[in-house]
Amino acid sequence: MVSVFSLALALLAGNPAPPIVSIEAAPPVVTLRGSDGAVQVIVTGRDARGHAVDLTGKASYAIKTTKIARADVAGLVSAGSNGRTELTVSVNGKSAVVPVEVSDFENVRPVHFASEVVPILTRFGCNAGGCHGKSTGQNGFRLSLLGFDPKSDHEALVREARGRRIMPGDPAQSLILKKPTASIPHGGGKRFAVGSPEYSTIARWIRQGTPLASGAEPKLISLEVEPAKRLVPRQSRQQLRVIAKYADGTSTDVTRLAQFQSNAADVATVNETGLAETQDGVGEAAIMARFGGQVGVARATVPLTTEPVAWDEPKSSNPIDPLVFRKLRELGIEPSPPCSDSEFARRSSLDIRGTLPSIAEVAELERSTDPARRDKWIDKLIDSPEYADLFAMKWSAILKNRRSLGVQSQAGTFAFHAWVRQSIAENKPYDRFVAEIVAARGDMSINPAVNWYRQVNTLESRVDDTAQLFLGMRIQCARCHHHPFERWSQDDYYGFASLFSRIGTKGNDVANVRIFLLPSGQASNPVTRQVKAPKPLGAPELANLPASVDPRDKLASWLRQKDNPYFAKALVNRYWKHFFGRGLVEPEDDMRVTNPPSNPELLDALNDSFIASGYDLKALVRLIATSKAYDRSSLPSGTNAGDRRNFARFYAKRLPAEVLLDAINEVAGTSEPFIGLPDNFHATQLPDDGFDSEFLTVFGRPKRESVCECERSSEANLSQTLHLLNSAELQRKLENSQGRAAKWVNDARPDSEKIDELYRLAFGRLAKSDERAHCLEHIERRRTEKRLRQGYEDVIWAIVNTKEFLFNQ
Amino acid sequence: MLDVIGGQFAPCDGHSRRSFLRIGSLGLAGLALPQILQARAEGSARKNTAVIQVMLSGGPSHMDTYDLKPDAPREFRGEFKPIPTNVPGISICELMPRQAMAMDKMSLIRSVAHESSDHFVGTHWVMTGYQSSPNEQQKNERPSAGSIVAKLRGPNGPGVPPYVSMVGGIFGGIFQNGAYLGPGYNPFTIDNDPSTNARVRNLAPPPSLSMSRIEDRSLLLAKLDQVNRERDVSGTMQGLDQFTTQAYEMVTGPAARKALDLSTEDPRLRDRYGRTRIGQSCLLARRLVEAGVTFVTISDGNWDHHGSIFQSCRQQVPPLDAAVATLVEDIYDRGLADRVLVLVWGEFGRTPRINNGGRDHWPGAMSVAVAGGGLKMGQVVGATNRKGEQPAEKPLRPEDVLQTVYHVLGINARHDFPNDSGRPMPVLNQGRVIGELLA
Repeated sequence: MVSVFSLALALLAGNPAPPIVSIEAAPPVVTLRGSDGAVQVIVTGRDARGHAVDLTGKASYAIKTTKIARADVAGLVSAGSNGRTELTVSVNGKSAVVPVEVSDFENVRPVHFASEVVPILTRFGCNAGGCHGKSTGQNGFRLSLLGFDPKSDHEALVREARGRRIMPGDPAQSLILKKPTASIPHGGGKRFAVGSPEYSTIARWIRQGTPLASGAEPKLISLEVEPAKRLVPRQSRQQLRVIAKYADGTSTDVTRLAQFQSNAADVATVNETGLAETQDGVGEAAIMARFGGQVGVARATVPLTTEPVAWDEPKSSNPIDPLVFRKLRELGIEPSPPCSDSEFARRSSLDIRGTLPSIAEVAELERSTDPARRDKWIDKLIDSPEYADLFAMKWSAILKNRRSLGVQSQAGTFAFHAWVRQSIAENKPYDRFVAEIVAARGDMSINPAVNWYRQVNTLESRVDDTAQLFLGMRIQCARCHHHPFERWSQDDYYGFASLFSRIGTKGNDVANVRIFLLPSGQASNPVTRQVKAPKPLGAPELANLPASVDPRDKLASWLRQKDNPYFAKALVNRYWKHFFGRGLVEPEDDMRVTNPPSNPELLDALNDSFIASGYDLKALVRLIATSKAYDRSSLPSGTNAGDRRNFARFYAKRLPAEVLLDAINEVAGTSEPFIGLPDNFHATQLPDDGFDSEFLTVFGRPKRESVCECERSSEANLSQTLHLLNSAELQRKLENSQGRAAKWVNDARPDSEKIDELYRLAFGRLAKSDERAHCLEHIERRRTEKRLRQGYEDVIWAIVNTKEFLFNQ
Repeated sequence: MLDVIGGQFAPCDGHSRRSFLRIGSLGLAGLALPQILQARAEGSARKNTAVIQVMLSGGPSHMDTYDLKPDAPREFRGEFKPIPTNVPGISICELMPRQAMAMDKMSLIRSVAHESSDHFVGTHWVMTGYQSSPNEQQKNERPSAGSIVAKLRGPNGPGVPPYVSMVGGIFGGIFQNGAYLGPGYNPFTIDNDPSTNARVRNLAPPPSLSMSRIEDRSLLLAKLDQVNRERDVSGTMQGLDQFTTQAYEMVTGPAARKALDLSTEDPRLRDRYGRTRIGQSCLLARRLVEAGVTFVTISDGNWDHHGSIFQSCRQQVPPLDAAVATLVEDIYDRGLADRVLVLVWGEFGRTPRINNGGRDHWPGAMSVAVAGGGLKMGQVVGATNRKGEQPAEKPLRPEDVLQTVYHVLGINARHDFPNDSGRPMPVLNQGRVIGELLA
């Protein structure tokens, strides 16, 4: 870490910022309407290469006629009286002139509740989830979360609490002004000062009679944040401005009313005035601005260095590679070299089969001189039965294949697992796989996919799971309030819910269930009580569906439309994460405008290729696993030690619980006794959650209660370490009379060969000479103590306790 | 930071706006190990405090323990008489003479209530501070207080786990897990009876492993475990190295083994606690917090007295009385009163009106006993009405009790963690510190 930092300093010191050759100011004309208009000016300088640099904070601002307008040091221009004047911006010996026009100054405009008062409540955290915005409110005062429902907020302020919150005759006595200024005790403390612009706006709104809306206000349709995308060096600043666009074609600067948030605090932070500060981290940061129920995003790309870094791009015909490497070039970091064949064998086998590669397999890959040997190896892995085991395990967890209804539900969970596994083994196109689940009907004993509806058995969970699993979208927020980071409203939620509102269920819920189509039924928005016609997200309403048409069939066909913006993207992102440990969008099932991908072009390319292949999952796995991006070493190289999200190297990741247990058994030469299952059954093959294992629990096997892969805990903890160091369970494996240690005692080969066997199996590689010496020395000591078998046990124990074993790297 | 009922006022969330923005964005991404360590550092205003929670599962009758109503009608008041305590004006059940003599070192909260008469919902409420969702009543939906403490505080000393649970009785041990914090914050459980034998799973080595062999193995591991930790950008490899050190301390070091060995205690003190499961569990809990455990939950089951309540109380209350009273005295005798909080409660009270010789579930009123923790003792907070049906003074909720517990532990209860759908979930979203208990 230290070395990288000093390297970066050296780079900076060696390359002072190139001189600015021109400057420009935005907007081209400052237009202020009314007495309280304020416009943020942004000053951008360009060097000889055309690179943009933000100079807003360094420039000085002079208004020709200060009676007409004022400008502060941060470049915020506000009105003084009607008229026209000029703003002169000067920096680095360059200047630019911007015309300023003030109109309607004397006209005290009515304060608009939704777009002026509510944003104040949002900016100061009044309606945040921890305070008055939570569903139960705070101390009797409840606001809509983040101000998405101005009408109910108006009601709460003006009518509730016997009107004490507002004193029309003496605005300063209103609780809504006394509480946030801490003039009287307030659990939330002081939020703004008496006489501040926020205070004045609310006071003026009260004096005007607390109008909700005149009805004449134009509708806010979008927010734009400028600059929308820019390359910004580390440790520097970029001022943003936010422009609200209205349905009547007008637009207003709302920089000082908007609320800002960064999605990557290690790359860039942002303060309340929209000034972003880049940090030490390298990569993309999305800065979200929120105002009046809309969100807008600016993206900052923060390179390690803006100087070109020379490195040779690996030759590749894989469409993934140019996109990954282009991004790295843009960020000024280089990729690590390729990993060794034995590393590649272990890595890809664990990722695709969930197993360690055999000694023979690794040796064969190493011996081969075929340039296409890694591609052929990947093909072999994809066609193995263990590929189906591993991916069936992955899907069974997020499809919640769970024996929650006791042992009697076992027939169903086993059948569903077998159905999932078979679908994966035969490489059923993904769109068909999903369609068969979401539109499952009939008798569970005949159609195992019906099991999903048995387990996911409420309207809300069906809506939420479908969105999160198949669209990569967490829509559940919109069940109770407008989604705080997305465009989805409660109407959208319940329109989507109506796709699932005609599901009839027959049967006793445990042994068997039958799903059939009800002739009618629609969900309704609990706030407006309006019945919503079925409507896929962001798609037209499906009004007047005949009684014979299942809305879920319509859902399935919408999902597999080639222009569906979510469906294929969600899957390719999920699979990317499976291999690289991190999604292009992270978390992988929280894709939204305000959480953009680290490499949008790559996500688009994967999406297009997956659709063009006919939703071919094996082809997608092959595409990813044969890329040069996937075969990078996990060791940092050159300038890439700090990279965490651009795949300059392979990010080592822990083995999932089941894979680790199988690997330990492989190395110990034992098998896991799962009750009721045959010997040599792998943990990755378990059909449902009904097999108790302290090991699997401690190592984070998901309980299959959540649709999120994050339920599989990858966090390290003390119980795991204790279990590996000290459990009777592991000790029994080592001491097993059929196990590797026991067999070695009667094995005539020299110990050094046994050590090599162990290293090959556990790590894919041979022991280094010092490692071999340490192991031999330990074994020898035990031999002289007449405890040879314990010596072998100890060496095997030490191997499975190393980080090299516990991680896929 | 503090949200107190009565008196003191400060920001709701304890953060400046700027830090709110930063934390908000972290909430989306999830907390990584370094941020957890940071949150721990911020939260540890009172570094070495600890909590012993005695959970009386099934719901003990408030009217037959800490809140007797001798003036209530016969069908309410029950068979037991109140006795005076060493604090003038406070009286408790005649089955609790030992606690009566320790009342100056205890405070009673008589006005806690909530709205669920279901064992699962009520237990989830007191263990986590949240009512469970409809249809999810048997799910450990939110992290238990002990899990929150394990995550944000860790252990007070080396070589011991942060959070230990002693499980016993029907409903004992439920909702004590980490939920979306992950299984790493589940308690270390002691599921055998400490009055005969105490053991934490995986702490004592399997019989075939001698200490010297464990140490020898670890030397070999250290030589072989040389992979470059920089391969892992998440920091988990380094985290595991830390855990390995800790786990060794626990297994081979003396702290945990010594704490678990009750035989080194003075037999007279062991007798005072009572040679019962609850008695020896309380003694063990005191040894564990002394050794550095931060949160201990003892579950004592079988308080669900729908029938023969008076007979059952005659059997169950005296051992509890000896255990709790001795624990309180012991903590004061050892100078632990400022840093160890004892909390005794169940998931609800029981119906004031006697029904068929028993009392049924009653969330409308329950009593909570506390001791130590640097809080103000020798008082009663709140009161129920004449028939013990509902709070008449100072109505409080389980969240207020937990908020007070977090206050003692120096934990910011407005800190939030992302659940599985990424929604930020605060430690508590209701509740204030009970002002009367602040010294």
